[in-house]
Amino acid sequence: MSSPSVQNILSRHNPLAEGNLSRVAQIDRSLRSPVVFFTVMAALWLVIGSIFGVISAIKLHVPEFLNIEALTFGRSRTLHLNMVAYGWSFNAIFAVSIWLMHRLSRAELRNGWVPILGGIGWNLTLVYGMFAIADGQMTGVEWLEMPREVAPVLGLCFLLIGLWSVVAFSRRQTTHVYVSQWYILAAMFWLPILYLVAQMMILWFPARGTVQAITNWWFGHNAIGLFLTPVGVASMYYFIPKVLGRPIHSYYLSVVGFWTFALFYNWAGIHHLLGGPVPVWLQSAGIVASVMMVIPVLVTAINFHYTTTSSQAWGVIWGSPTLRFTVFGAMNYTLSSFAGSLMALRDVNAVTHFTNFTIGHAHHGMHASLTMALFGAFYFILPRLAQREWPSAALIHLHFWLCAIGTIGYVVVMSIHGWMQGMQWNAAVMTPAQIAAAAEPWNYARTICGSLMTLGHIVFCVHVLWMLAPRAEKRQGPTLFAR
Amino acid sequence: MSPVPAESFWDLSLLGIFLLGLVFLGTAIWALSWSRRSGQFDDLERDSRAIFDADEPEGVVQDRFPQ
Amino acid sequence: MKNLYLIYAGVFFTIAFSWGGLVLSSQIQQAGLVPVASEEGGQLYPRKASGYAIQGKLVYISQGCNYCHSQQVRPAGMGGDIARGWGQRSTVSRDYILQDRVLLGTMRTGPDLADIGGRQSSDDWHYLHLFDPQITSPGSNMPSFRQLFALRPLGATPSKDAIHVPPTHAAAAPAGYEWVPSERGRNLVAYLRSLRLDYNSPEAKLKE
Repeated sequence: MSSPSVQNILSRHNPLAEGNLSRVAQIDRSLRSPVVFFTVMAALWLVIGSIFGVISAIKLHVPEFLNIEALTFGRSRTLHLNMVAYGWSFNAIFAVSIWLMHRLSRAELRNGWVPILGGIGWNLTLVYGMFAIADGQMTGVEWLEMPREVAPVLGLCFLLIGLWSVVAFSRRQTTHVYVSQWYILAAMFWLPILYLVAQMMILWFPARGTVQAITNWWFGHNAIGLFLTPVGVASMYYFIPKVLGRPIHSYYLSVVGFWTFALFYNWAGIHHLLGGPVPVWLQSAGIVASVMMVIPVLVTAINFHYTTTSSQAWGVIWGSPTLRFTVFGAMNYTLSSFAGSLMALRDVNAVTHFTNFTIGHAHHGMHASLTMALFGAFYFILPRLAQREWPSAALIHLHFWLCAIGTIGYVVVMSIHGWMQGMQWNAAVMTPAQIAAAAEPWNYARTICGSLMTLGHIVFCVHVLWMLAPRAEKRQGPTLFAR
Repeated sequence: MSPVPAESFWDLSLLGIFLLGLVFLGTAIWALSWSRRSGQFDDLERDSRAIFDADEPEGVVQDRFPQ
Repeated sequence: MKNLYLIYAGVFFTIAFSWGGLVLSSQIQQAGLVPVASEEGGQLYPRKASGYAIQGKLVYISQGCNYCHSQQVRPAGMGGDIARGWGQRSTVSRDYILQDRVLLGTMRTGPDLADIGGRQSSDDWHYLHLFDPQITSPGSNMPSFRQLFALRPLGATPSKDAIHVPPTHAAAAPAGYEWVPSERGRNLVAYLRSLRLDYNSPEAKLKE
């Protein structure tokens, strides 16, 4: 039986009682179209992109699998990356950041057609870009593989979408500003600068020699660290205290965390070029910044830890889809970041560079951390937009276990094999073909883990579409999020 | 990187960038102290409660698995 | 922290700082790099690539070769690149100044290619390797690149372009036909042959 205060909340969310609509519910209602649009786009790209990931993984132990030119490994792998990065991650980030910013600014969305227009342009351009990649028109620059003509369109669409979060902030109805808002603002400011500079200096007016590579990894690492990660962290900072009903442990720490994050992450990207044809002082700067990242990551971990510590908290975390996914993501944020700092050390890097270890780390951050946290956000946001509960607890459980086991398995497999691979390359005893043959069982295990993740994504996508599909009967009563 | 003093035009511009960087740093430190003085860092504990409101108040768990 | 302009200023400063320190400074440092000769009036290195090699590089990019192969030799002490014979010295910035697209690579599913033209100087080896890597490198997990070859009717005698696929191979040319590299295949091999690290640089000398 619900307590009286919960009943009040529920009745305020009842769409049939128009006069009852609380501020929060009004804001959620206004956000419905763009957030749902970006969510559906994100979920679809996630499924298709994951399938290309599995195809690429299979090719590594069955080289002649689907070996037509349009799907040669170099292209299928590139399609996978671009789909899960620009398709899933960016669309999901758009959805979550617009929702979070409007909620925290206590401002209703106005002129929602602007971000939707940007979103339509974004996604159509991505489709064009994917076909171009399959056709062999890729640029060869990692994270910027789509032909350069997409850049002005993507840039403009991004501005239309990202601007709306900034506009919401400037229209804020409250004097209180929350940490998540800083991270989202920063992300929306940083990405256009990164993209513009990288496009100009690598593709449109190519810089000299390895300056291209330096720009590439300043961009590539910062696209993850200064755009995707901040919104992921913003999401964790909101949902963990929000769902638990307790404020963040130390708000002061979150200020320190934000600025040290901004300062150090910027310089870390050079760790992709250790041992490479770039000046040693540059490499050292990248190593130092990568190690210094321990500070903001530790600060965030401490904050989350003390916010969640209590005997009842773990029961609540386990019993809430949002928290289960978000806390899983937050813990892996700490783990993958510490791993990244370690990987920047010269002696470690000498083994892990150019191996599966790096790829395992990439998935650790992008999937075990960011993607899982974004799932958590969607589990909270969608019922409040659709005004209905998730249809099936079983599908949520299935989604969680497939992804959790798949992603942890993937990171473990790739890390162990990556280390082996690095030692084998460096020992200079085995031939390349022998190293490839030794990789076979590990690549097989990787395919299995990736398949589990993909199945989990399909479950999620199906559930999202089911949840949003118009229903025959109209629900009479309020929906119950926390019965 | 060439040592100071500069030996060519390019080294000179590198030095120029370095000095500009110092100016930036100085501005950043000034901005930080200005922020403190203008109260940007006050009331932090109250701001941490910005996520709660009448509908979703502090102390109430906001999510559970659907039954 | 409530002020939008303050947040923006701080955010902009952090990225301007990193861009200036990492990218701009490198651009300035490398602006003065030009090809140099190791002795007076000698060949300038790095070499300019031939037209075929430039076309071949486009094939390399289009087929996604750089996702399994790197093109950089790390110094001794940072891995076994030199011990493996991937180069007699590490690669340096100057080696890449004439390249319109730098393909350093980030993954070594297969070996590094900075000096592949030196290691494998036979066109035949490259063609067979691309036709079916199992021919030259049994156990490799590199896929075949049949799309770079064409079946042509045999003339009176085999053309000198024909590649020598073992007759027992599953995809050996049927009677009356021969496999020849397409224009893309020829260009790609020209590019691979052009990848050589056989000269000294002021920053790094070849080991003897």
